[in-house]
Amino acid sequence: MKAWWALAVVDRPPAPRPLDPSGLGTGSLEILDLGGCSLVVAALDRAPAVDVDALRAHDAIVRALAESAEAVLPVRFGCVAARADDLASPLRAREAVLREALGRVRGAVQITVRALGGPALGDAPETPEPEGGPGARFLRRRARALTPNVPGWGAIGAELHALLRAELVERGDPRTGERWRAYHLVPRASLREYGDAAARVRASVPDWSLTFGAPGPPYAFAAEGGPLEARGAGARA
Amino acid sequence: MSDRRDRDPLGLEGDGEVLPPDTSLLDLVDNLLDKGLLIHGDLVLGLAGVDLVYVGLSAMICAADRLLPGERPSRPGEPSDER
Repeated sequence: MKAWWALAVVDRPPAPRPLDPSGLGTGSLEILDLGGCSLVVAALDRAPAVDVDALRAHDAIVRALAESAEAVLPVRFGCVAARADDLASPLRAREAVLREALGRVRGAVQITVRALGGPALGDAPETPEPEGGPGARFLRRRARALTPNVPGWGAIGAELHALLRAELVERGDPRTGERWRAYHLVPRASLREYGDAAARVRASVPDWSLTFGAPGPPYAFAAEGGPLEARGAGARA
Repeated sequence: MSDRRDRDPLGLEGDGEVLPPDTSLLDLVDNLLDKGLLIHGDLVLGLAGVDLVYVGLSAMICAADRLLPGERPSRPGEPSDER
């Protein structure tokens, strides 16, 4: 039975150049029309084995798509269905939201900042919320707990924030020694300036042990309705 | 120089202190397994001995050890309720 493996939503179909899905298995890449955008899928003989090679193959195709498209929303690894329409129909119903999300990430890349040291984290400050039931209050508390307050990051990272379109901050994975991580949505036009600022920021807080990942497709900003806390006067470039 | 900067826009290439050897794998797992657009469909995941939850349609995935205490993670291969 054929396995339709979702890869990314793009603003326009990719240029007709060979995109090889062979790292995922035997098959071909197909473009499913969603209306104002397109879903790129791999039509495979069977779903790939879940291993690092398949992760790399999925990522490589998404990166290639990101090179040719102005806006790309990477799909999470593992979204597979027996029929193409099982993937396309739910997305067609969300086409307006997807176009908004594509607008958010257009012309921008994601850079992940990780801190292996630095101050202890706190919860995000509580803000006055509109009324809601117990379930809504619980979810807001959980959301605040998952989004840490990093003391001093606003000031220390100010010159980075001025270049960002958006930032998402999460608690780190203690199994890796990571204290917290920040996903930065950086306009391509600002990458060199960002790199210079990153070096200065890293040098200013050596005990934080900051690392900056390579630019890549905006996985962290692909979900619809995701938080986009633009920080800094130069944000949303 | 400009070619190198194009390849390495953050100017951090070769700086082992900034980019740990496993950064790319960490980013890969972080992005592809925990981020990205979620579509209705079947997610069947298990990677390198790490238990990941098998889910049916349009549900969140998480590592087994992040579940609430007392939860028993379902195993890959268990049938989905949705069809």
